[in-house]
Amino acid sequence: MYSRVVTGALLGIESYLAVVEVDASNGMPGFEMVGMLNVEVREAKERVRVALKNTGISLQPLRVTVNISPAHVRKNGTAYDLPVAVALLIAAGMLPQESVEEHIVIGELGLAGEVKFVGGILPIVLQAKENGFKTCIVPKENESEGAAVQGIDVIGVKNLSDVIAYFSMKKEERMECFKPAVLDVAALFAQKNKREELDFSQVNGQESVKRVVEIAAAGFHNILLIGPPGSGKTMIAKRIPSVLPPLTMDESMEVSKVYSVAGKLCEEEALVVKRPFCNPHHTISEQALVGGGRVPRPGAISLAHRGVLFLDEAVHFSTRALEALRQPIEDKKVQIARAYGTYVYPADFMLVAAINPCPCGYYPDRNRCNCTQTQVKKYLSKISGPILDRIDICVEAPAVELPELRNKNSAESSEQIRERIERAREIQKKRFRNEKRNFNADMGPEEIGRYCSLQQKEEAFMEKAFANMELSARAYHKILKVARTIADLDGSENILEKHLCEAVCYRSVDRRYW
Amino acid sequence: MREENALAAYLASINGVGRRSLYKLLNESGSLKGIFDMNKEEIVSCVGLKPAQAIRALIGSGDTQYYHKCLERGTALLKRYESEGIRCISCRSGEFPQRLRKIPDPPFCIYVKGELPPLQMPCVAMIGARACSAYGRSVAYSYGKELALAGVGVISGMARGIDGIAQEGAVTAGGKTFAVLGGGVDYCYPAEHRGLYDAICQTGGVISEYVPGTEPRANFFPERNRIISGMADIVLVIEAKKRSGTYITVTQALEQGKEVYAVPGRVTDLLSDGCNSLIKDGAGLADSVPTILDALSSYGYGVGRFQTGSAGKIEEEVVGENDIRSRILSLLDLTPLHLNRIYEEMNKVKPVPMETLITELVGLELDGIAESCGNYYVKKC
Repeated sequence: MYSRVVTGALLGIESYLAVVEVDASNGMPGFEMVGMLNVEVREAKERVRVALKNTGISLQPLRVTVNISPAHVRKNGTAYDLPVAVALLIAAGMLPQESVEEHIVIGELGLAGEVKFVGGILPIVLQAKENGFKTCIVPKENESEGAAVQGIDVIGVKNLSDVIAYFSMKKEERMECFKPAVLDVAALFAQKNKREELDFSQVNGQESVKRVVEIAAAGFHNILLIGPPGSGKTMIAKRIPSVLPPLTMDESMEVSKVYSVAGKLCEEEALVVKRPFCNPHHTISEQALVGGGRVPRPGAISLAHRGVLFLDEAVHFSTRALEALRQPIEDKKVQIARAYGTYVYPADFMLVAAINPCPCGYYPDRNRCNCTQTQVKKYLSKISGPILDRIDICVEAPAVELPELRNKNSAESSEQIRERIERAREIQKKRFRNEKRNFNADMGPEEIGRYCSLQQKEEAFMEKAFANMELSARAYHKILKVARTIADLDGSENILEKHLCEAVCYRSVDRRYW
Repeated sequence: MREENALAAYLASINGVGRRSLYKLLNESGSLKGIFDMNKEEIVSCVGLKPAQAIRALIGSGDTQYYHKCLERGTALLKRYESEGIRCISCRSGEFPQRLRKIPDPPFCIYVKGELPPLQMPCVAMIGARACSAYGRSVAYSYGKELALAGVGVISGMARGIDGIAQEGAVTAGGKTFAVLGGGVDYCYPAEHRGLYDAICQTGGVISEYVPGTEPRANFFPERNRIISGMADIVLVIEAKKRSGTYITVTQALEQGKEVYAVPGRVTDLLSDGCNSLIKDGAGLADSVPTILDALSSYGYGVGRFQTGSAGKIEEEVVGENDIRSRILSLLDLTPLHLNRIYEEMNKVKPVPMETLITELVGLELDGIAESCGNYYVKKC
């Protein structure tokens, strides 16, 4: 007998529907699986056989052929176990074929028959909904994640007997025994609005660094923090998500899809509702950073999508890993090509890099630092020109002195800063409503010409600054972009001299070091 | 004289015999030519055991043919050097700097690219730490510049840090500066000082006691330091820690009987430790360039044409009535001060918004009063 069960499969964060076809006929007993399958998919054979046995089902000797179509796409992952088991039961005549109509079945099987967690449920459920399916059968642990999609029933199952029971029932009875999972999205979003633990009110001093963070967050500029150990670089970077505007529903879906594929969503956190903050350790490999592997998985930069990627001690990252960031920063996505297809993961993140100014960390404090200029240069040269090109703002965080820490005058809270940033973002939204860009940082030369025009007085200032400060041509565009954001924060239509001044000030750091 | 230089070039090019041995031979024989009249026993008894090859190259035993062969070789060497713009000057030559003759352990011959300081030129050796502070950097630069303007030859080692900066100041002023290297004169070390090296070759001179083509070696540097101090009338220490290479040079300078001046620093700065303790031990206090010039005039040089700059005046003009600017300026000095620190200090008196502060600081920088290195600011001098 022939049977077919529809399931979902992933290609990057996109998903497509795959069909598991099973034919069970008389002949020499055997179990064959075809359809360009990776090893773990092929192993489904053993898991399904033992799981069925341990659920109390004995199959007659049959010649079984399993095909997963489309057969020309490579399949991987363990989510095919459950659909194979269901299709096999149908083919063996133990379940009716009609019972799986308009259903999608996904899940991994354990030998005892339990259905286990799999990654990528969210994009699959979305895809199923688009294709007009009514119900998804998913592992219990994945049900809340799937329930985030409205307009399709998601039913979580614990073990194989649940599944058999479900499909044996009449359609009317099913609803009584198996309730579709519900996820209160509004509540999730409300929960996030509770006070964040990390807040800028906990950071005393370092006013210029905080100001830079504000500007960078407003215009989504990439920034570089340079400072001695203990100057609060990490402390400040960790608080950047708290001043970014909250994720919108659309953004949350985008981010959650990545997290789902990476298998990082769980019952408690069915959707990503907080701005992602990703701080990989500097020993991270190129593949883990940008995504990769035999079956490409999203890397740290994709997990930081719509959020912050923080590279602490950036000079210690391997050169390959750092250089691999170049393209994703430009494209806002990363493409990983394999012989059987190209994976695309989104990677629209704000890069925050932190470094020490020299090997010992205390330059230019000559009482503590004994590094020669060459050592300093060599240390910093790990941050290559192309990477530096993609960083709009550099700022130095000086060592913190005791009185500053003791200062009990509470600093501004994240909320106060966020309000200003949101205003600046509104202005940008209006500005770019007819364009593909979202933020000032994304502006190309053409847009800079359109939106960053200067008055005569400001032109004169720029000329003077160029002549006196030996600025490079590439610095010019960056200064304009940053000045645009500063003007937006100020609520000013035109870029004024004071805005340019501040932008120039944040450029002078890389003049010193590079 | 050319004959002597050629002989000296030949003798200095022999591997395995150093300047001390050559001086011993010279003293024994009385003249460079006389060395070739000595036989093996005399040479060995004079210089002791040396590599056989080196001894063989020295033995002339009065053979005129051999002497002429050596002379030819020496002349060929001189020609080769000259094609690269390098001169070889033996200690017997009249051109050999008088000051160098007087030091203990003088070089046997020196190689010069460019020129040597004229006899009547007052010379100051400027030395200091390689890893210097912003304070040291600005003092070295302005002292180098002003001394050069006053017609003083600035002698240093073209090293990273104080040395190079002082010489850069002298070059900018269009004055004469001389670099004594720890390798062949055709070897620009450190490589990043290529531009400075070329400029010094043009306007002053690069000097070394090592045969051209010799790569710089760590043990050459303390040796060349004695030439730096030896060629100068006064040794000026800009910035030095207590236990440092600079301190060694100062000790050598004192052995040579040179006068030492030091630039004072703050008691909390490690890099000024050495200078301050030198002053405590009796070194001259180099509080300004005229102090050095006065000291030089006691050596019989007619210096003092130099006039102090008018930096102060410009400041007043540009600052004018601007209250914030003058408050900022009262905070700035030669030690780099971070933006945040300025902000905090300003706010202790009267709150100033960060953006206003930045606008004023950038304005001061563009007007040439302040200088930024990164987010740190110093007063320009």
